[in-house]
Amino acid sequence: MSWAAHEFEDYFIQKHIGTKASFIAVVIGAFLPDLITKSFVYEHSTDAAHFHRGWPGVGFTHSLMFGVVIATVVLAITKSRSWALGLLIGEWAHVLTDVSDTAGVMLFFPFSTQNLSIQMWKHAASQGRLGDAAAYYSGLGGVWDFFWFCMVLVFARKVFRADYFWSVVVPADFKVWSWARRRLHLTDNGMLLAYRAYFLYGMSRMVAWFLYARFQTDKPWQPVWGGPKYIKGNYLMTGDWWRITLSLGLGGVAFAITLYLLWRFLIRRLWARGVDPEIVERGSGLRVAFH
Amino acid sequence: MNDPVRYGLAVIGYVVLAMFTKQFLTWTYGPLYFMFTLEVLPRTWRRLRGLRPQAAESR
Repeated sequence: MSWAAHEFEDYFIQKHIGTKASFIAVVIGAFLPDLITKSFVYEHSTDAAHFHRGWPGVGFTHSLMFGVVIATVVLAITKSRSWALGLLIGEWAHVLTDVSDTAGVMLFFPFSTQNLSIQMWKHAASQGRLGDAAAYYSGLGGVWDFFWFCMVLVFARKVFRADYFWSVVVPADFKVWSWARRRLHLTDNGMLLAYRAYFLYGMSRMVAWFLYARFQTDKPWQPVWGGPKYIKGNYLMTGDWWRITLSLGLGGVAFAITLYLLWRFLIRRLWARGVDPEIVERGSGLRVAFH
Repeated sequence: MNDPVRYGLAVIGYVVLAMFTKQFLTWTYGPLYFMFTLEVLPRTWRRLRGLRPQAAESR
């Protein structure tokens, strides 16, 4: 799992989607896999990792298909292309990020229940919330957060400007921002702050947890692949490499075919009757979602 | 961000609060903390002191 990268990635994505997807939907999509599951994860201390990322359990929330289903349902109900795309992009970003820890994700669920992981840092949910955070910020996890923090500041800092917010972010999802403004009695500065809040939160979280791991748990910092070595991680990608490859390969093919069939017979029709905010001009291919 | 000092102080405030209380705000309360410290609190303070509301950042 990733502790602050999910927040930073949203702003990096915003730079690339511009007006073509809703920023709020991207944020919700990025939270979706953990939204209804995370609070239960640490209570299932007997097998927290399997519950969080495996099957049976709630690991299906960390699959590509879960994002497709949610986005399709939202497109069918609201007809909003911006929200469907935003949720899909946010959810997929979360799932692909979580491939990096030792537990990994069931990328092609339900076609394969095999977890995929590149085992860059320890998934240590069985250590409880504080132990898991200490492990994350004692290995490459914290470095990953810092990497995305830098990526946003170097390549996407324009998304924090007030004029960008008012000319791109708000018009791309005018109804929802207007509703939030009325409902929460937000001023102009309040709206802007609500938009920037997740970045500030991610930054604070990254610093606070890192300091906690260094000075309150006194854990050594081991930014090496698969570290920290002194903590027992949770590994869900186990077995022979050829079985893993076969399962993931078949799952990937089945996922691609299903996605094509869904598009051909359902999503394309829903997309055709979907609506866009006036400001949106979609191209073809990847330019449907990115500019 | 027209007032980086205020933003920086809010971030430091979060970190100090987390370190001393060992309570790390979650994804729901974290952003609310920033809304409170950077918007609600200064706005209320200015109103109580009879000052004009802070100008909005230029669009």
